[in-house]
Amino acid sequence: MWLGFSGVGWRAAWGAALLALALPACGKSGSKGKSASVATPMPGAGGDGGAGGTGETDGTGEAGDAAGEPAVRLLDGNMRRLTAAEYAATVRDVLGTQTQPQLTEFTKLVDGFDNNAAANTVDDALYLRYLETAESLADEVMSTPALLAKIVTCEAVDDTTCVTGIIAKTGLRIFRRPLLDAELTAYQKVYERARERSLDHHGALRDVLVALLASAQHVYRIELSPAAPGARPVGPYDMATRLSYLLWSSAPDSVLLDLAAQNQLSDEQQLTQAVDRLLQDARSQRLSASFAGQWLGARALLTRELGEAFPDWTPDVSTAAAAEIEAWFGELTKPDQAFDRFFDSATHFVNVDLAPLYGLTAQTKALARVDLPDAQRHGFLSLVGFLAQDASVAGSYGAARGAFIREQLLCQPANDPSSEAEALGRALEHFDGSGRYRTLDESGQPLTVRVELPGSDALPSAELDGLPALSQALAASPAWRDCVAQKLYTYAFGSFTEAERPNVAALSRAWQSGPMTLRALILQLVLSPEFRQRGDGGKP
Amino acid sequence: MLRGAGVALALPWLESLAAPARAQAAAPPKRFVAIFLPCGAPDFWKPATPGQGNSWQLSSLLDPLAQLKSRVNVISGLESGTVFNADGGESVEPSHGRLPAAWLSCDDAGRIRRELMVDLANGVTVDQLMAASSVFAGQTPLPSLQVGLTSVDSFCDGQPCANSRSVSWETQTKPLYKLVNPQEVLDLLTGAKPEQPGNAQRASRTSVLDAVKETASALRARVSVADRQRLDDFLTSVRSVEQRVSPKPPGSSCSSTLVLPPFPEVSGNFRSNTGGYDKGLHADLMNDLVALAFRCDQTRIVSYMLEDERSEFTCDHIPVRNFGPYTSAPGTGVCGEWHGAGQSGSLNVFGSIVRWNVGKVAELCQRLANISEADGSSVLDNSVVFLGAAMHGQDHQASRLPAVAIGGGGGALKTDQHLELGSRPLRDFYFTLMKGVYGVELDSFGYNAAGLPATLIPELLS
Repeated sequence: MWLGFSGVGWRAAWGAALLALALPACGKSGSKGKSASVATPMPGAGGDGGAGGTGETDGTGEAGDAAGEPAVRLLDGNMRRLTAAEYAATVRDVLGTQTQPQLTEFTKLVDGFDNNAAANTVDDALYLRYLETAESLADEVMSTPALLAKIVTCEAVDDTTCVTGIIAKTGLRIFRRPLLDAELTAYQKVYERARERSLDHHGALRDVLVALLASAQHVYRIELSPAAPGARPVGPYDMATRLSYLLWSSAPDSVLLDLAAQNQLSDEQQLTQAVDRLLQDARSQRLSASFAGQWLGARALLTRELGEAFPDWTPDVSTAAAAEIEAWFGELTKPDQAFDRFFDSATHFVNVDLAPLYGLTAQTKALARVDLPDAQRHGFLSLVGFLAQDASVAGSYGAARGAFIREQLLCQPANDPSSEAEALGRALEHFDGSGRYRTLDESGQPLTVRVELPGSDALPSAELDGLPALSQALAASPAWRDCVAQKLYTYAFGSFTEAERPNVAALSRAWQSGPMTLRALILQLVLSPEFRQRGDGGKP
Repeated sequence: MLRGAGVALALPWLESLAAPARAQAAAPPKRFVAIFLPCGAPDFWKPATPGQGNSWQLSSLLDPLAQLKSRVNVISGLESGTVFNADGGESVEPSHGRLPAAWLSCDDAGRIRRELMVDLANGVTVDQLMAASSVFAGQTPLPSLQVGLTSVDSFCDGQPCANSRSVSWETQTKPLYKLVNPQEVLDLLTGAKPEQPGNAQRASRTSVLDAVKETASALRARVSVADRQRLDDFLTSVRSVEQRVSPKPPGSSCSSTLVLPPFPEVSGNFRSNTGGYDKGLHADLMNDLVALAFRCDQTRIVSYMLEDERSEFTCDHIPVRNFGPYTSAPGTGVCGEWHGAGQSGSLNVFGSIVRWNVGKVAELCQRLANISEADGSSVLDNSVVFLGAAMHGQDHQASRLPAVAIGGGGGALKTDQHLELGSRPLRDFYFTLMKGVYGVELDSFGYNAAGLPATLIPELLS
């Protein structure tokens, strides 16, 4: 029995939910809980995903599916510190404030993503920043009538019902779950202590707001463990939070919180409806900004310098190139878009800064959508933002492009030097270091982009002639599809370890068994066992 | 009640101090006290000749410092005209409204008001710069303390009243108003009432962080093994930040059971020593409280206004004396208003008022000399008590400013000297103190209307 959550209707709803517990339809339930980001395996757990043969049972253990694939591992719902972008979006959505939190300097990237659960710790410097930020935000709320009205819903000074009501309502939004009784008491004491110091009702509530915002329960996403051992379904509020951070990089809105309160985020239909609503909301643009922005290098582009050889590459150009990647990816999030469009879409988003690199003209700073007929400008590989890699990393922009393809699009281990990366880069030689198309190389010689791929785990040996052929080869590669699944999985869970490879493999297979849209991939992820269930966190 | 120059005994009520001995670091901490003398002084405040050791003598106005002479540093020739006038001219009018604001800021409050387009502004004062510096910040519960003996509202001379009723400015737009009631100061030092603005934030943060720690700790039992470690790391950071933002609550080292002798509440309502008000007792209590603040290490920086710059207080507690260059003798009657009968009247009355106040400063210094550090030196040995005025005296000019430093500055300050400077900006004195005595890193201090930088006075340093 899940203990401790109080609130009218919540306990009854939860009890009913447990009785009605149904396993996910795909049938791949894990046999043991394991913390995904802790390197040492749990006592008794196998080290390689063996099919439940190590004695731990929870009543739902299965030996994997009929094809003999290793069983999917359940995760523990580890504490995940909000990233700078998530924190900013969260407070803006929850409080309505304009104050810009200054948290980006504490960003740590792991495999290109800023939301790695294990890496995102809080140290003294960051905590002081959290405290100061909480104070700034609270001060802005208390001095802005429209924002204050959302928090201070009653003016009965020192009245327990009034104050506890405010704490409960505000705490629900800030902690993304109903507060425990002990928490209500603790924050009520903040109010009382402030009143003892002769602060008025608003002044005391300001302290309460600071305390809520400065608490671990706000700056971390914490999923409380079940009291009894074994796997359990992810709780409704935790599910609401998982969905909103996956698709909006922010806290659940009141609709999601209401669904959680009614325990209407558990079955397939409810989850599918929720995913679709979130995807159709404008806030899903943050999925492009955050997931694609990091995976496809848009964020790194913002500070890309190409050196003296490309004097036209200005900060405005790199900003526009990054924005194009995000807008371009946004097209792929549309429900009917096959994800294969990744490699052959004719769509670009161009403004006055980017246009010259595409051989176009444009007048405005705003990005305008344009479809380009030339196959040389189809798909991701033709985006200026991809082509303008940082040459200093790999020695040449060609090698950098090849490494990007291998590591980001095929999920191959970084392998320096790699003849495959070098060949991939040469196939794209028609594009100079800033992504401009040319037919002659730097010394004025006609370019040849016919290359021989050496053959690897990801791409078979082949002869390719330039970008269109390379795009086709990548689209056909199973490694590509698995990599997309792996990237989304890593982003969703804030980690990816070898032990979770069965999870990603199952996700990829499930995706490929249906329409391969991004929406479908997201749905398969959300409906997967590891998204809907969790382990018990290793409690004795 | 205690009067009398030179001999200072702790008041009986302070003998019950229960402040514990502090564990001392290798070198005792240094303190700074800036004591503001309004209206300047008669010319004979200045010793007749410059010199060191036996080759100079205290003047008749400074002779209350006789027992402390070996730790006295008289600096004559300091000026602040160069703050206001590019030609260095010494006339700055209205003087009572403009010069006191420059006393610790060495800047022109009006210039900054115009620059910022606000009604109230000044330069950040030397005591606040020191308090915010890495040498002092975070070392004590109170970054600084502002006290005073004002008992009657002073005339503001057509300028913002903060210019002449406060000498410490924390930011360019934030004057720090002094506490004049001994009970308020005692409450502050013993933690009974967090009155000053910094304390409000400190108290709020303490309360906030209590709830943060309490609820995070409670979650430990409800999360996975790995998460428990994360919560512990989080709590460690919270506690560490708590130490930095609230080092210790005010009064945690001062006994909170101290009781003041009866003293009326002061709120601009005592124009003279009547109705139960006694300026002498006021000064004695405030001296004891400054000593207490240092004894309990509640702060290391104090600014202390003996009166507001344009004080109309009737000094009927001060008997008139007649003055020669080195000595004085009792005269007849008692003094009148500080500004009216003193600065604008008889030199003997003016001198009597100043000398009486020098006596109170001497008593404060003696109290500090009686507080021992672990290495056997005294708080006074390790401090600088600077008694100074913002104008010369009866001529209201911004030159030849009375300036006396008492204390050893931890050995960095040369003492037992009368240093006669030709005409040197007051900012150079503070610049020298900050850099040479306290080790505060800065490139310059104060404003010069001709755009010149501050320079050190090496003769001040040992």
